[in-house]
Amino acid sequence: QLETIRTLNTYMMKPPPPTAAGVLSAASLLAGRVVHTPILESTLLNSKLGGGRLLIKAESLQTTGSFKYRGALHRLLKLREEVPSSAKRGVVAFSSGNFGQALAAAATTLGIKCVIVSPHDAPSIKLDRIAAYGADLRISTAPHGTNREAVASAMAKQFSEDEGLTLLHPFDDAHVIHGQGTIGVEFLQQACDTLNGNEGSGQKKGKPPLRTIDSIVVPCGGGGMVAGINLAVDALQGENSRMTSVMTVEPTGYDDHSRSFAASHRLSLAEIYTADNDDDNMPPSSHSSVSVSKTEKYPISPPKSKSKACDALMAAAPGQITWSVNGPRLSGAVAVKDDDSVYNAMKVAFDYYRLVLEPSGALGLAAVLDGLEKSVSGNSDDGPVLPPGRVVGVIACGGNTDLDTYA
Amino acid sequence: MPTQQAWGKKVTCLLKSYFTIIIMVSLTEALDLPTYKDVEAASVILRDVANRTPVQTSRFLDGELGVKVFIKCENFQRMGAFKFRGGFNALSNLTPEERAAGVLTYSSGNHAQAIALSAKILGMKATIIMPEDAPKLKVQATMGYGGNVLFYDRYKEDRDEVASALKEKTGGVLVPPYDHKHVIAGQGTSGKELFEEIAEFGETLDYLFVCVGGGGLISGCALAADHLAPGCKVIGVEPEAGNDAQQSMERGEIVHIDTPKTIADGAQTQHLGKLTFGIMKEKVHKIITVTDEELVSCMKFFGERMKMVVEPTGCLGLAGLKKLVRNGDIPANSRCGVIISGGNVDMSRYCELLLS
Repeated sequence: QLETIRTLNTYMMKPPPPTAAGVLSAASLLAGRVVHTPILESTLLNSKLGGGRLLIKAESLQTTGSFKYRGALHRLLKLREEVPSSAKRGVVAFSSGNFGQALAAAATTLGIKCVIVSPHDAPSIKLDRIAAYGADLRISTAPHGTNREAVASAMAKQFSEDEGLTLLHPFDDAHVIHGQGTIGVEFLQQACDTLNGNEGSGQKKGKPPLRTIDSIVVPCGGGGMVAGINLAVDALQGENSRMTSVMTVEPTGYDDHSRSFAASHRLSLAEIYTADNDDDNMPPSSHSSVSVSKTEKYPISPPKSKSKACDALMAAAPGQITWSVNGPRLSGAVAVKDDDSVYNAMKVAFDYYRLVLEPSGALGLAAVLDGLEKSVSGNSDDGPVLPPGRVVGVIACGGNTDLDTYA
Repeated sequence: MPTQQAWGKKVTCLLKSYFTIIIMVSLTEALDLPTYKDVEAASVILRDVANRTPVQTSRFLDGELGVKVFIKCENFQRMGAFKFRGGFNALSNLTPEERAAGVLTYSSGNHAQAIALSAKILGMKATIIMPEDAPKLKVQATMGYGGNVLFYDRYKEDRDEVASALKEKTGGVLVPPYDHKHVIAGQGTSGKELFEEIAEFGETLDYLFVCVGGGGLISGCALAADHLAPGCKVIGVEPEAGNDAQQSMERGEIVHIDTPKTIADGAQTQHLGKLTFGIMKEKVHKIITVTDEELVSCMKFFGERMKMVVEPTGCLGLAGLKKLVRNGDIPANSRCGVIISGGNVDMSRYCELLLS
């Protein structure tokens, strides 16, 4: 009976917001259960870019091929701990992408029933993987004229009600955010060792402060990973004494975070852009280093080079919970100029880091290569892309791409 | 009988035996084989310089093969291959005079970059002798690390002669790609790390699969395995077209072959080294071969499932494991180590192979 009351409360009350402490707790819980992905660095590329240091957190090497596994596993572990009866009944989520695979794999590992609802036209390779990881995959078919994502989402909600399954959200969820934040905890700790040698683990009195990452560049869809990383920075450096700044990168035409950041309030893509139209008179997309004007009037026409490749980062708006964390903490939010930058970054990842990245996974690297650092440090356009002495961290967040398409 | 002549004959006989003994002793002494202690010394030198590369696992692979696979990812090593370890260890062991004279080597592959990068880190001059038709990317990478590249015509000039002439002129030290005590010891640190890493989870290895070119990597790893997991069987894997190591192990002496035609360009060596063979014949269980198709299949698996770029030679280890599992030679649930040697492959070639 107590369980029923608790469950009702969970539905009716607002869940507690994500916190820095929550991220640290998640790091303990996930230790040994997720891959402690490596930091990769290329001496050659560093010197080519100007002498600074570019550190890549290779989350494409995470279980299921993307960082999403952390959030998914953490969410399920907390469900099992906090509401065991719900865990016994199972979970449902709507996704055709990396979250679907991650949740399926995590649920199978924990022996929790998992239903994933995907639109019928999602790539078959992704659908196959979701099923292969052990989820109960259900396909939704959107009648012509309706929004396929809205239909699948509604279907998931229906299953949740009908079958008593807990409906999970891929990013706008405190425990998912805590799980993603463990990337930030690892990254900062690993970077501390890399940048400071053997003294990294203990600060000595009288010695200069330990070197850390100057800026972490995070590819961004709904904002779950970047919210987690922002909280990780708070946790390890203190909310009021942060040394590491955090920036988001979005694909062209899906820059809701970039516009929200400029406007200082949360904006959705529907509010920003008019419906798609192929007007040849549209201005070319602005360079990634040019900030969006604070006084931009919306809606505006969508850019000609709206991304087609970054399928994992096409969320319609920043999450409400994620924006509550990110809004006050981000130091910048940009969009890359076009998909070509992304393809170039995928090649750089191949050549210099031996990583197979999906387009969304290479977005952070693309922004850096396009000169993000130049604009951040106020250098002129002639300056190096990565100035000496500067340490930039990039999350390479996923590698789930079809190899034939990649080739 | 003329006494002087008799004495003359006796002295000549004595001198001949004397010289034979001296020659035999120098031959044995020349085989100054590295031991595990050298691998340990190398790991101290490489700490904080080389990457302690990750050991990855794959649930999919384990499920498919019915064994537990631990993959040491030297494709994430500095300059993209395990060769950095041996190169840096060798240069670190040079005397100050030798360092001042600079290092020479010949290679169009990973050893060239390893030496160039190591020399740059140590503030030494490096000259790499490369064929004129070496892949542009490898030449650029070597130069990018500050190496001086000296080109020769591989059809008209003899590489060893070019090297000797340069050595005469500059007094530089020649560091070969595999038949060198400190190079072998350096390569062995990759195996040492693999055993140490999995020991933290209470695991060890029943088998270790390693690619074989000149034998530097496998002999180094065999030293580590012998010390850290004596029950572990070290198995070498060669391309089918270039099975000189397999033949050498069978015959008990080093076999020379012509440059083999295979996509595994890091395993196109014509013969094992004296030191590498010296270790292999005692500590390597056996050598098997795989086809180029099997290598491409592994390359595809690494890219698709594990999101890693592995060059064809780097796939020899996994291809060998898969073959033996198929043949029923590996008991279920065995703990199998695989070393990925490197990830230096040109993207267009990679895509060409994957789409073939």
